[in-house]
Amino acid sequence: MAFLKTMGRRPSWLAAWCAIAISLAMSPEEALAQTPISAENQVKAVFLFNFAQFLAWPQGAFPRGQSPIVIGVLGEDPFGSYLDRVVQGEKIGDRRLVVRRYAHVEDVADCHILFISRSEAGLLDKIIERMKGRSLLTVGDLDGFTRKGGMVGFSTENGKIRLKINVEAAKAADLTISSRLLAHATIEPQGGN
Amino acid sequence: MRFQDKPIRLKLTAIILGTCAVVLLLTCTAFLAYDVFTFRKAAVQQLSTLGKIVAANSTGVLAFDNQDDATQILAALKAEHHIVAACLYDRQGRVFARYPADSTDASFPAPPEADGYHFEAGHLAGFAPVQQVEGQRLGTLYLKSDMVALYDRLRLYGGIMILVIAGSSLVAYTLSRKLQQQISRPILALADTAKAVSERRDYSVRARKFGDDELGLLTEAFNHMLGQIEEQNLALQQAYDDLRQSQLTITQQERLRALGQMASGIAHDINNAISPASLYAESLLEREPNLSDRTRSYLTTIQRALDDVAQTVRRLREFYRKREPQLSLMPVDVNQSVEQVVELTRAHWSYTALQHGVIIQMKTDLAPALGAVLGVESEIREALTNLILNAVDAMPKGGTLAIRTCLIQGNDAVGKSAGPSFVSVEVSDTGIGMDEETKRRCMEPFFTTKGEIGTGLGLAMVYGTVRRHDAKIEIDSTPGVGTTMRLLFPLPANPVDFPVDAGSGPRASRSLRVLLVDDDIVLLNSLAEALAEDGHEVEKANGGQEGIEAFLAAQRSDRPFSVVITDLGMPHVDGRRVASMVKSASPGTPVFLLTGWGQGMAAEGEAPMHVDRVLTKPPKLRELREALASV
Repeated sequence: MAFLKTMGRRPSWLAAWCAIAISLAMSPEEALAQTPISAENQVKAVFLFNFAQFLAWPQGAFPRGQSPIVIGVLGEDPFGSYLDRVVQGEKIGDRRLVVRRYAHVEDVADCHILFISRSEAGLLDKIIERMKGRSLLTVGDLDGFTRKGGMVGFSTENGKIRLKINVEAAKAADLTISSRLLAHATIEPQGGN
Repeated sequence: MRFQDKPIRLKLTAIILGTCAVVLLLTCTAFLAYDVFTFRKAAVQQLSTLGKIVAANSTGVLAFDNQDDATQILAALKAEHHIVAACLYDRQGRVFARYPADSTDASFPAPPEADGYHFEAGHLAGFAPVQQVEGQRLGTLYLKSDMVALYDRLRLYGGIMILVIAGSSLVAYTLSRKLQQQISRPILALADTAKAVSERRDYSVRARKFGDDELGLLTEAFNHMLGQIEEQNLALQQAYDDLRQSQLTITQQERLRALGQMASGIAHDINNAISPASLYAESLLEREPNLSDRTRSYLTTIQRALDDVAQTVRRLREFYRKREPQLSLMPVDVNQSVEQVVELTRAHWSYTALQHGVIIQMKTDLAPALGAVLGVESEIREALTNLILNAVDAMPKGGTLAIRTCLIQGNDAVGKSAGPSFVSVEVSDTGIGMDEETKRRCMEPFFTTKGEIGTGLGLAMVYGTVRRHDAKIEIDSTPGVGTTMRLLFPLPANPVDFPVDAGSGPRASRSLRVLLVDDDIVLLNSLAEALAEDGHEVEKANGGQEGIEAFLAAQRSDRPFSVVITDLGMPHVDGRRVASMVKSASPGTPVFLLTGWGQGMAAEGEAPMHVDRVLTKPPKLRELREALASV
């Protein structure tokens, strides 16, 4: 049985690697000029952009009608310039997308999606505590991120990135997450396993 | 058989059925076309809606790279059995998930084409964008639907169409069978009538009229035409009958004319033949006083017999006399005429009847002192003769023939002599009588009840005589009892006297030199002797040429003729030539023409040129003397 399982999974493995290879081939100068970004992080960068499409912020989250949607990265940035390229020229409705990087939690201001880097593992509780009451989607790939009050957590299963969502936290932040996103995520109740 | 030659019933049915079928076919085809059009539109709409739903549901799986879920979403298309294939492309246009799950990437178009749906070889296929928010394309959905539903629908519609057309045609056929009679019935009736007319030549048939439409008018016109033909046919038949009758009449007249001509010749010869006998008999009776009673009696009988012959000959001539004679009315003693006629017809009613073993009793009842009526004695005698002959013929088994004359005073009963008085002559028989039809028609020319022996002219002649004398004719007849014919001659307002019998007439006061021309030597001699005895100097010439020469010779001498008496009908040179020569040589010399046709000529005013007087044969001494006295 274990053998069959391994055999059954191989195509998705292959597909993933192929996808990475193709994406690398498509942007060779990026790959050479910059520090190589892992395929996993590339996917995560695209996901960060995609979250903006499946999310609704409350009134007042934006100062003006055409204020951009800000994707923030707190701590050490794992995406390099890749995230900038993903959002470049894209618009959600009338809003452009911009990427901001923050070294300290105190720097985070006027942000709508905040990726909390692994470098901030020790400060995670403090950061989450600090973000409470703000209409801001917290995303992270640390283990137990959602259990600790984070809203969307990435985890890797069989080479595929899976989503875990803490619906309570999102609700508390007055964010509405599309059911189509929820349909592909593991719902993590607060204080659950 | 060509369509034109088919019966009209079939044609009408065919036209109605054909029209119905074509109209239904067109209607159904239009419906079908419309349905196919709307169905395709609906199919596109349906597929596009399905595409939108599937695309909307697929945003998450594409955005968050969930291939398993994507495959599951597409697998749900199984419920839509007309979807044969579907796939999701990712943002880069690579196949991300497919349906059915075991299909290969090669079975899908790569890369995806422009959004929208189109029909291709029995399928409807198309692409729809997958996006969560406007403008952010996450990928593309491809859907491919088969058109089995459309074909099913088309098959169903085709079946319905055939059923509808078949059903409608059946209804149309049943209806048309009934309704086409509105048109075919009057036409067939017309055709039947026309056939009856042409086959039986019966123009009295009429076509039945069914309504007041054009066919009704046609029927009316046809019937009217038939009526006209019938009328004209009748008129034609009538005209033909009339023509036939006229032809018969003309034939009969022609026959009579030929008979008349023959009779005329016979009469001439007889008159010539009896002339000497008559002359000698008259001369002897007049000039020989020493005759014994017996001789005198014989001579008288001879004379009467010759007179009868002359009368008979004259009657013969009456038949062919074509023109009505100019009437020279003379006083006539009707009683005397009756007596003469009775004597003249004695041979018929007495001897001939006896020969057939029939006895006819003749009774005469003549009223005295009737007075003279104005008329032509010979015609009156003729009329009476005809009546007597008819009466005899009406009594084939014998009977009594009564002749009665009487005077009828006008308005005797009132005592005033207001109207004219009549002399009535009745001829009655006890014969077979006449029925109403015969009584009504008996005066018509050529109407006869005697078959071949009758001419149908007897009573017609009587009627003519009656009219010319302003007289009346009355007929009393009872079939099986007898007939009375009554002639009523009006008496003149002023009574006239009978001419005094001139006796032997005046003797010529002076002696005349007479040239007598005739080709009949016996007549010539007897006449010459009679004239010589009267004291005239008579020269005889046997024939026209001889007469002319004698006359011219006398003219040249100092002893010309005072008068020329010439026969009319002579070979080579006839009486007319003689008269003309005499007049050209000596216009003052009178010329008398002596002829067997003489009486007719005199009556008809036919005195030829150059002739002063016409004398009849057989010549009478009295007439001769009278003529010579006038010279």
